[in-house]
Amino acid sequence: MKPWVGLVIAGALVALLGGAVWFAMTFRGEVEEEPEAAVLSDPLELGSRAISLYFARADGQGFVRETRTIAVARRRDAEVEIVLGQLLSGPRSKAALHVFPTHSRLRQAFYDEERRLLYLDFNDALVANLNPGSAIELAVMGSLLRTLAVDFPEIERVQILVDGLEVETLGGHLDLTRPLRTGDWL
Amino acid sequence: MTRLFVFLIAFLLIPVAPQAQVPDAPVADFTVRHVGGGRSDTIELRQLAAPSEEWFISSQELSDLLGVGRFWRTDVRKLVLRIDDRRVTFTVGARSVVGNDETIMLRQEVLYFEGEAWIPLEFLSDVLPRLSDRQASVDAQARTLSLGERRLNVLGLEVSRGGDQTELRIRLESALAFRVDDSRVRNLVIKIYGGALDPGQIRLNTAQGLVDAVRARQADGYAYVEVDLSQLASRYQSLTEDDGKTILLRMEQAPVTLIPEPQPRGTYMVQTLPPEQQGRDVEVRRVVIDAGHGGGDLGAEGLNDLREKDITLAVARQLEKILERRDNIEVILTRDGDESIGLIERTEMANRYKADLFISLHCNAWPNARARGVETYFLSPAKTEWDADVARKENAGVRAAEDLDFMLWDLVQNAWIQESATLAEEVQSRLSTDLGMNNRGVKQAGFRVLVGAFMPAILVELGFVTNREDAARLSSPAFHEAAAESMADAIVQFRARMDAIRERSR
Repeated sequence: MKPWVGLVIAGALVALLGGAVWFAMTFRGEVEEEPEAAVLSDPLELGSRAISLYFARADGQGFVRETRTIAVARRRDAEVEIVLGQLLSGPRSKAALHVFPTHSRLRQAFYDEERRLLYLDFNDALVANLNPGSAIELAVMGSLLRTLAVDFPEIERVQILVDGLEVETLGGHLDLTRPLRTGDWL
Repeated sequence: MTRLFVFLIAFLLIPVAPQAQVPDAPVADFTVRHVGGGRSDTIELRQLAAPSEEWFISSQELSDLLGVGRFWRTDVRKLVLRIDDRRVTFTVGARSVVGNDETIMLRQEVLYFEGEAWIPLEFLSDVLPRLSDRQASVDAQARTLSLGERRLNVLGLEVSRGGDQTELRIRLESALAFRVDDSRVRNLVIKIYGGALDPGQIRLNTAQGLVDAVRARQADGYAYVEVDLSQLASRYQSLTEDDGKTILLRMEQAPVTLIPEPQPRGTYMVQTLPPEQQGRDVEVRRVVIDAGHGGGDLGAEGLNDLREKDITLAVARQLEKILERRDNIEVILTRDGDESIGLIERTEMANRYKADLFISLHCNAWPNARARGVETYFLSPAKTEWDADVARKENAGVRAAEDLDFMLWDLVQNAWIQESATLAEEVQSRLSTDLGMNNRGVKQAGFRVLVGAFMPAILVELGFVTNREDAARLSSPAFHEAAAESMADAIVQFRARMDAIRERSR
């Protein structure tokens, strides 16, 4: 092989690899500059995790635990919404019962990280469609609070809101004027 | 020439080769508190996955911290921790943690750094409680990490003796309501509401002083500590220390000449009042009976068109009649008709009339027909502890003042927590026995209508309007009368108990 052929090949390789390096570095830079929301639009990027859901037992004497796997979200409140969405969709086990009033829905979750306080804003079906026995109220709150306590140990307190406003109780029993401590419901 | 190519290629590839973990990753010392153990350590954590702010703990530190065995398989880069007889497996470069036959995904992957595996701290706070009976909470800002057994709040037992006295102390994580049952010979049973214990931890097998043995058991919602007493024990006091965080039973030995002959039902054992309760005047002369719901608030609706508000009013009227005519106790009804009254107004009424007891009557409901029976509630004290804590944490802001107001308001009812528990036990026991109904027990909850009552206060659930058997009873006037009579008997029994305590304290 003539020496100039080797030099041409070496030059081509240098150009090729240089281009690859430039592309790789430029490409990495673009990803870093992507707005966070765009990067997070694909939840699979953050993986998934197993969660525990607590549903009231059919006889009202305790809870049944079911596990599901959910996509991990970067924000705590977004993940809470996913978990409670699963909880509000009801149990799979026949030993458990769906105690949430019909059409009740979580409008929004907001987590105040500094105070470790989670605000849960439900639609008014949570109050309007409830048959107000204390057992049902305690089961609804127990199901919510126990699930949150296990799946989100860093959340210490939960303030229930209905249509964005504080409520005194759901049906005349449990005091909801102040945040409930998740640890009390385990 | 070939060497020239290799050199050129190697030279060009250097910038794109995977970077080793940054050796100057942020490092911080975290203080580790062992809840209940009093011990504290310091561990060094690193942020190895910038830009993520997740802290990582080395496998060595983690296994030392948890006091568990650690196995490292170099070939497959897997770390196995044996936590309480469970194998928990981590793989370097993977987010999965395998334990208890389930796989849990971490948000950050396990990393390999300075010759060992490093675990994201979220493992301790999020995953550990699910794989074991341990719990951990992490405060990254305060650089603290708390470790402990899960949810145990009855922490320990101590027995000490001196002179004619033997003292038994039960240490609690926070103040809890309790009740001492001394109805059996040479045996005391302490029922701790909301107590969670490890029976292996709360026990005494060898006699010490006047205590022969101590056993404990866990029930749903309560913890029981049972104390066997020596024949020499003649009386006991139940007290609290350390703001209620210690239950103290002080057993005393009577002079030998004064020991009475053994009596069949243990009546020689006399309970004396704890000092903080002495002088408190629980004299049952005026009772406020609250018929739950009313007006537009129908309460629970059940079979046969039953409405809670009608049943509670019927029973309240019967109870008023019996207490006033038979037992000479003045009764004030929060409503004597189909009226709508606010929850707080009901308690305020009891405070305004300086009632000695507040009893709120309710009926229960459940989505199916399976739930049945009676239950009695008194206010949960846990909330106050919490609000006090919040107030302390936030004492710089307006929020603190709000919380403090609430805290003080709650303390009002908490001052009567022991009496409320006693009254609840009396009512529940009578109702379930006399009426032959399913006994769902005495429970605690943060019911709005009980908050702020400046007297012993309970809420009675008379049965389920959604259960066929209970509903048939609840719709019958004969049942209303029987339930009222049964509750009246319980109130009279409670009055006698309070009178006896007051007599002794004089």
